[in-house]
Amino acid sequence: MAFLTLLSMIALMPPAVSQETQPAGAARQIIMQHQTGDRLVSRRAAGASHAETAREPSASRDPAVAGPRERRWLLELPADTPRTTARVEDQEEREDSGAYAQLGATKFVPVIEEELAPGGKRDVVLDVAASSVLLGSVQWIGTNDPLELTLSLNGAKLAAGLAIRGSDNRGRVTVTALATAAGQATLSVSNPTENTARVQLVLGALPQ
Amino acid sequence: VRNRSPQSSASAVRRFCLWFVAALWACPAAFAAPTVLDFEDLAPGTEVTTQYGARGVVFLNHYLGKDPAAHSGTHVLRTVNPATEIFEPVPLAMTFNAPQLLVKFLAESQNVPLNGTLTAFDGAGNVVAQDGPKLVAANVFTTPFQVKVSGNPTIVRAELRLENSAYFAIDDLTFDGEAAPPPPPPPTVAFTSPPNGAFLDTSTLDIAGTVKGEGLVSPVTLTMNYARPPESTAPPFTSSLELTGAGTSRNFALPGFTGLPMGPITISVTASNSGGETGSAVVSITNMPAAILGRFTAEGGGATFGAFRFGLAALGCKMAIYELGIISADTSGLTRLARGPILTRWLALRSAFDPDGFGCPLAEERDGPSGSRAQDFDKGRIYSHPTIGAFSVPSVFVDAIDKRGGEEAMGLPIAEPTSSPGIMQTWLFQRFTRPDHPDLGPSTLEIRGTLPRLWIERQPSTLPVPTTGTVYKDFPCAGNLGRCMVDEPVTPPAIADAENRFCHGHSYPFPGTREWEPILGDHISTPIFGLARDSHFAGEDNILTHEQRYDEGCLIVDCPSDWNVSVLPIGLQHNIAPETSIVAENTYVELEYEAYYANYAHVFMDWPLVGDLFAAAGRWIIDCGHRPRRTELHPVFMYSKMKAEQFQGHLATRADVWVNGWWPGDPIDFDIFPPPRPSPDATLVLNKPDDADAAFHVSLTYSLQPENAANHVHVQFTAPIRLNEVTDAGEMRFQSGRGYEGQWYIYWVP
Repeated sequence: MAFLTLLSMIALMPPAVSQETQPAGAARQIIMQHQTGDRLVSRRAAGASHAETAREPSASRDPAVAGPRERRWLLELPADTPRTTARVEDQEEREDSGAYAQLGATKFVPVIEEELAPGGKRDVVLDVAASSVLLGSVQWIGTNDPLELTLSLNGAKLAAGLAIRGSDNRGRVTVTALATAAGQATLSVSNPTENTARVQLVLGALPQ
Repeated sequence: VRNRSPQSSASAVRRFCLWFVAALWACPAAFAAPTVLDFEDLAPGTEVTTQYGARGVVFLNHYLGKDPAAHSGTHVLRTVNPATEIFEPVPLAMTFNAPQLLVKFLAESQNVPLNGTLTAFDGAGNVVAQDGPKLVAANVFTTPFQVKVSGNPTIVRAELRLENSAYFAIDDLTFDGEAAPPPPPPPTVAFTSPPNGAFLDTSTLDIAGTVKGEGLVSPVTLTMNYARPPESTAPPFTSSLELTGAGTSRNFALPGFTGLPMGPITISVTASNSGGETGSAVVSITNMPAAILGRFTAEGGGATFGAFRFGLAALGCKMAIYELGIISADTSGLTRLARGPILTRWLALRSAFDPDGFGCPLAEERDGPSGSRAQDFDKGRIYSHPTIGAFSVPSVFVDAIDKRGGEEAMGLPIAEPTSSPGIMQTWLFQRFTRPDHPDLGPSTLEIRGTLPRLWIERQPSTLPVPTTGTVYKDFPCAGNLGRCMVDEPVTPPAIADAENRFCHGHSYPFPGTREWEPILGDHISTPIFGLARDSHFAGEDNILTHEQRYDEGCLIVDCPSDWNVSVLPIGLQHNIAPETSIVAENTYVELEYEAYYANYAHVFMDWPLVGDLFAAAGRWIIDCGHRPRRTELHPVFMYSKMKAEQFQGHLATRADVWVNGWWPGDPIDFDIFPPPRPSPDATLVLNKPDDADAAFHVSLTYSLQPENAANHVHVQFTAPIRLNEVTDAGEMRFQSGRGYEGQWYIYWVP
C-alpha cells in the first residue's frame, strides 16, 4: 500500500511537464560555450527565467534510491506501465528472457512465504526422480545477517547455501545440486539471527 | 607575351641602317628644314617604333610617356615603361632614314642625377660625334644634348646612355640634315603555318611566315584571339617575333607554341617598315580534341550544345564549354557530358582564381537519391533536385558519404558548403536533407576544431526502427579541408565459444553454471551505445534469480519482473577489451533490469521507447540459461536514453539519465550529443538539473567537448566502490542508497 501511495504522489507531480509550467525553485544550471572561446564556463543563472522555471523532483524521493522498499516480493504492476509495445518478435528476441529455457520443465513445490522467528527452522520437501537438478532458494526481509540454507536428498546433505551478507535488511541464498538417485529432496532454512525474517522458500527439480 | 627590349632590337636597327646607307648612295641628296618632335601627337602608353618613319626617324621600341616636367607640352619619350622592371641598362636609340648633320634634345634622369652620353654613328657604325658624359638632372628636362658633324651629313644613328640606367627620357628631339626619302610600300605578310581554315587537335603549334618589302623593321607583332572564359580580362595574346634573313624577303617564326587554346582561333601578324607603313596577314583555325569533336557531333552538335564559349585544359582532361553543355575528354580519350542544372552549378564554381573550378567530370550524370541527379567531378559531386536545387559537395564530404552509409543515409545538399573559421573553428560545413524522410531533420557534415576532425551528424534513417536521436561520428583529418580517415572499420569478430568460456559447457541450472555469467566481471561497468529496437515488460522470469516480481496472471514461479530493452549496437563499442565485440551469438544486446527499481524513473522520465538512443552501462554477461549464447547487460547500472524534442524554443536532445542501486561504483562515462548543428557559427547550450535534485550519493563531472569546438557533453559518474552481492544463481542484488535521475537538454543556438 505504501508503494501505491508513493506512486500516486509521483503521478500527481509528473516531472515530465514542460519547463515553463514547473514551479520556480532551485536554480537550474546553464552551461554554455563562452563567446570568447576561452575555457567553457559554468554559469549559474541568477534570476534568469530558465533558472527559475526548471526544477526536478528530488531523486531521494524514489524508494528504490533512498528507501523504504517494499516488504513483499509479489506486486501489482503500476497502472501506467505500457503493456502493448511494438515488439519485434523475432526468434532471437523471444529467447531473451529472464526465465531460463527449462523453467517450464522444472517441477516446483508451491512457494512458501512466512515469518521465521529467530532460531526458527522451516523445511520444504519434494519427491524427485533420479538425475534431477535440484534448485533451492530462500530470500528474506528483516535482517542483513544471512539465513542458513541446506539441501538434502533422502536425509543426506547435498549442498549448503553460501552465506552472504545482505543489504537493506534483505538477502537471498540459493543452492543447486544434482540428485543422482530418486527420493525426497528437502530444503531447510534456519534463522540464526536475532531478528524475525519474512522468508520465501522455493524448491524445484529439473529432470535431466 | 614576350617583352621586346630596346636592347634586343639594336642589331636589327643596325642592319636596317646598313640597308639604308646603301640606298642613300644610290639617291641624290636632298636637304630640308630641321625636324622637331615634341611627341604630343602620340597617345601616352604608345610603344614608339616606326610612327615617325615618315618624318625621318625610327625608334628602338621606346615608350611614350606623360610627364608634367616635359619641356614642351606634357608628352615625352621614355626608354621604357616606368612600370616595367628591367635590370640592365637600356639606351634610347634612334635611326634616321637619311644622314643628318645635327641631333639634339633635352634629357631627364628618373629620380637621381646620372651621367649621360649621346653618341652619333655613321652608316658603318663609326662614332662620328659625342656629347658627354655629363650629369643629367633628375625629373626635369633641362639637360641639353647635341651632336653635330661638319661637312657632309653622316649621322644615321644616335644613342643616349645613362650610366647603368634603363629609366630616362627625352623631349623636343631636333634633327637636321638630308630629308627623309619617300616611305616604301607597306610590307606583305604571309603565313606558311598553320594553313588558314585548319582543324587541329593539338596543344602545340608551329607558327611561321614571310614578310616582304623594303625597309622592313624587326620585330613583327603576332596576335592570337580565341574564346576566353567570361572572367578573363587579360588582353589578347601578343608576341614580338624577330625577322630573320636579310633584304626585302624575311621570315618570322614561333615554333612549338604550347598551350594552344581550344575552339576557333584567329592568328594575325603585323609588320612595319621604316616609313611607318604596316602590313598584316590573318589565319583562322579550329583546335579541338577529336574525341570531343566526335561526341559533339554524336550528341547533336550545335543544336544540342549551342555556341562554343571557351575551352579548359584542366588537370586530367580537356573541356569544351558550350552554352548548353560541357564535353570533356580525359587523357585516354574518354568523353563525358555535363548539362542542365549541374552545368550551371559547375560554371558558378569557377572563378578567375580557380579557372578549373570543380574540375573534370569523372563520370556521366546519373540518378541520385530521392529523385535527384548526381555527377562526380574531380573535386567532388554535384547533386541536382527539381525543388531543392543544384549544389556541390566537396570530395572530402563525398568520401564520407560513400563510405559511411551512402547517399540514402545522408541525403541531398541544401546549400553550398560554407565555413566560419572564427570561434567555433568550422573549417567546412554543409547540411543535407532527405526528401523521402520528411520526419527527419537535416543532417550535417562538418570539419571542425584543432586538430581538425570530420563530424557526421544525423538522425539515422537506415536503422531497423526510426529515431529522432542524433548519432555523431567523428574522424581525424590531415588538414582543415581533409583528407579525413573515414574508412569503415572491419567488423570485429563476435565473442567465440561462449558455451565453454563462460557457461562451462552447461546451461543453467546445471550445478556450477550461473544463469548469467559475467564476461569481464560482476562489478565492471561495461558501456554500450545503440538504438532501442524494442522495449517491453517481460513475459516471464525466474523466481530464483528475480527479487521483485509482478502478479500478471502467472504461475508464482514464472511471474515477470524485468523491463527489457533490445539495443542494436551502433559503431564500435568501447571498454570491452580483451573482447573485441559486444555480441556473441546475437545481433542485439538485451538490457534487463527489474522494473520495480525503475518505477520512479519510468514515471518521471518515461519508459524506454522504441527509437530511443541508448548510452548505457551494466554487468556484461552471457545468458547461460539459453542457447545460442547471447550477451546482455544484466542488470543495467545506468542508462541515458535520448531523443529529440522542443525545449525552450529550440530543437534539443533530451537525455533521461538514470543511475541505479545495482551500480557498484566502477566509473561510467558517456556522451550526450545535440541535434545536428544547424549553422557553422551555432554555439552549444546545455541545460541540466541541479545535482542536489538529481544525484543521491553519486558524483558526476561533465565537460563540453571538444574543448575548442564543443559539440557534445561528456559525463562521468563516480561513487565509492560497493560490491553488490551476486548469488550462486547469478543474480546481482539491488542495493539502495545511491542513484541519479535527471533530464538533460542540449541544443544549438544559431
